[in-house]
Amino acid sequence: MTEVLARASGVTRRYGDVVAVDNLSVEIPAGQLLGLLGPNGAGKSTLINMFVGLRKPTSGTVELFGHDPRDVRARRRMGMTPQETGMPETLLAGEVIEFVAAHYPNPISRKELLAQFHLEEVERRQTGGLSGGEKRRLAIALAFVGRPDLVFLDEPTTGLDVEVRRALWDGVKAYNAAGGTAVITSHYLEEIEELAQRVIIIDNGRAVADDSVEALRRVSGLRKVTIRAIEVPSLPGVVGVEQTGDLVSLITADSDQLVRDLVASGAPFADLEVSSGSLEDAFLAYTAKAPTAAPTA
Amino acid sequence: MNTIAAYTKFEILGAIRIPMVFVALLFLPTVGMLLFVVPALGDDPVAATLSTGSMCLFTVLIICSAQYGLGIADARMKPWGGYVRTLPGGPVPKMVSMIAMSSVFVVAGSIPLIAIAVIGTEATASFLDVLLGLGALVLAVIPFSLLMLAIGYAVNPYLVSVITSIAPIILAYLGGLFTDPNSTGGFTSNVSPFIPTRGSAELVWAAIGDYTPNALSMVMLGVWTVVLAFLAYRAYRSDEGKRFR
Repeated sequence: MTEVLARASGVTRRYGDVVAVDNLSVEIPAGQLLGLLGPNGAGKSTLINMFVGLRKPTSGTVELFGHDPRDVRARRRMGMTPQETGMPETLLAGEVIEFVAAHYPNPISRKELLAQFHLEEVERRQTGGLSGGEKRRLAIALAFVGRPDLVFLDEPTTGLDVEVRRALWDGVKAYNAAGGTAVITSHYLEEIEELAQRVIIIDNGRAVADDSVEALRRVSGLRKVTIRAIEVPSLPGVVGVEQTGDLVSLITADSDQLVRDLVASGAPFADLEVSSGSLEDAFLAYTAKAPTAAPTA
Repeated sequence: MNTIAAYTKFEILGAIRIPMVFVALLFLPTVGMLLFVVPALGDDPVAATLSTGSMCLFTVLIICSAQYGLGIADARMKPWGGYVRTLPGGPVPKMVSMIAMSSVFVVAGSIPLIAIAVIGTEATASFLDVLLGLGALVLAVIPFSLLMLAIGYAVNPYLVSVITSIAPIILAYLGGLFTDPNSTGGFTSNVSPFIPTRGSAELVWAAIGDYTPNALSMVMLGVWTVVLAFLAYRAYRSDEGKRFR
């Protein structure tokens, strides 16, 4: 059996009257790339913050490497990205790396880290003067300084251009291939689809789905029926609707019946296409909400 | 040890990249030396010596305000502080490095004031007295860093900058740092024994010159230190909840 690196058991976290995380139980086994999906405010960040010891659960327990996450010993094998907006602006990128490295018994060499994240040319620059993409890369690099067994990557590639994003994905995959475990949240479903082996969909503080990407794609046999139509026809059996211009995608569990209903309704349409559902469709079906639009890089 | 060194380097680098900070820190005590100590007490060896100590203590107040009051308020507003708490360091390196930094600042900040005293006044003190005085100044960091920690953690961060810029002047004034230490009577000498500044000042004066500390001031300094430690601890604890709203 694989070792479980971190575990949340029946965890609830309240902020006043708001329940951010509601009786959630998650195990993070060694070697897994786990994706956390959910709309804004679903509780993803709260869950991660409890795993890294920044917040205490209101009830339930969180364990990191067998300890309370607030215990220093638990955090030695863990890495996390800071929010890039908060770096100490007057320090050089290399100095920030050195500072973080001083916390770990066997940190990665600075040269190696800089090369891995394409940061060589910013080593001698103050973090306040870095571009958004450079800050983001530095922030992600910091998660890997201590040769962690488990990293938490919260929105790792938001605001990065496609090329850099691809490079980071390759980095995460290489880290995983070498035995590393990662928990990733993202606004980009494509990113989760590409990286994650297992996905947990969180909505209103609860895990509404927890399965492999493949299983979620096939989730209850969901199909996507795409048509060109001026108006979105109102039909039974539709669990989600996406619309771009006159291109309408209807997500349903029974595409055959939906097509029959569509034809019978007499609504004008063209270019009928039926495809198997994507992760996005599963996400829509489970949360009944569209994922928040992310800025296109 | 490695971690403590890294935190200290981190603090020092953060500070020296903005050299104007030092000018700002030393501005008021230098003005105090030039406009008050040199012309009014410069010819009296005892008063000039003790008042130089007063201005050094004034510097300590300003350093504590900036380092602890503003520093903590700043860290509360920035996500970096939260990130550092996820690193496997614990609170000890941060505390040790801040205390080390305070000591460095206090000694470095006293040098220009002592230089003015040597050049412009009749102040005299033996080398040992000066060392003892610096020790008393470093000791004075304790109550004022606690006060500023309490303010930094408990008060709205935007208000902290206002409070920390006026608090040193008020504390220095009420503690009698702007008057001749040996003068008696007047408003401040009735009030000052009850102000924590006075006890710290009297220790500095006793270290560098012929001055006997007042028992009431010493008791009040002890009382203040305990009260401020409690307030700082409570503010720190309650901040953990508020920060994560």
